[in-house]
Amino acid sequence: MALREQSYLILLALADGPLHGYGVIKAVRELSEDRVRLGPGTLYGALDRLARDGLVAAVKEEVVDGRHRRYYDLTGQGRTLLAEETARLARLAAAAQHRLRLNPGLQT
Amino acid sequence: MTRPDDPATAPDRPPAPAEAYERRCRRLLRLAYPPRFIERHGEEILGILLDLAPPGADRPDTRTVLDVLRGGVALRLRERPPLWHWLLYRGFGRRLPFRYRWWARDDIRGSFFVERSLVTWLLFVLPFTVMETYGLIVSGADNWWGFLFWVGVWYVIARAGLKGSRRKMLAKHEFNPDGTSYTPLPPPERR
Repeated sequence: MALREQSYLILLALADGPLHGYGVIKAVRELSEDRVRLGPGTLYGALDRLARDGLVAAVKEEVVDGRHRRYYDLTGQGRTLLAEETARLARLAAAAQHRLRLNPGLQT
Repeated sequence: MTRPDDPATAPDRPPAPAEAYERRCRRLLRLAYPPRFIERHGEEILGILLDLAPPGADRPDTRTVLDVLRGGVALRLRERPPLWHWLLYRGFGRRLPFRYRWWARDDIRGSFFVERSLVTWLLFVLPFTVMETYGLIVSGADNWWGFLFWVGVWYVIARAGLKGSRRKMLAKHEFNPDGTSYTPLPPPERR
């Protein structure tokens, strides 16, 4: 299944354990080196789609300081897909480096 | 609702976003998303918006506003039935597929249910009247006032029967007249 970058980053953000909405936004921003900044509307849409595909699920709800927080986590299927996609990207990066004849030991 | 956003009295907590910010966020969400979504997920998304608030802001920034609006449009499009089903539903009262039944429920219980059906019908009829005006087709009806009269009669009758129509349409989609869903029957005993 082809994952878009946004979905991949969200899955990756959840790999370390359950996060709530704002936590996901922050993690995605860090992982993408500040390139991908999700807003609440986009985030909710993406989580909804991933949940419908069975890759993430809402696991916990709590109210902290009058603020509602819902936590999401990867499902087993989501974790598997994330691992496969990561392996694919690693293979792609290796092939790219080979093609560009970069010595993998050199810092670029 | 008072908020302790005075740092002098709540020194251990970061200052909460201003009340104006929260009010504007709530209004934005109500504008962007349909009411049933707000009931189920409104507090969660509001929480995210409040978490995202830069300190001292009294309104969400343009980028966030556009993002929420876009998310709302995307959700509404996702939940809408496809065109063909929608036309049969709106024009002829045909039952929508099961996955759109909640959308149908909100539509039936929504305001201007009769008016919206009327507008759809008129849109059907409009191409024919336009073609007739330009002489492309010939129909016996060349009486605008007569046409409007019968539309008016239809409208009055439809409004009179609104409660019954609503009940019937809700029942088609397996909802009670008050909008609650039918509860599924337990599966039959297996022998």
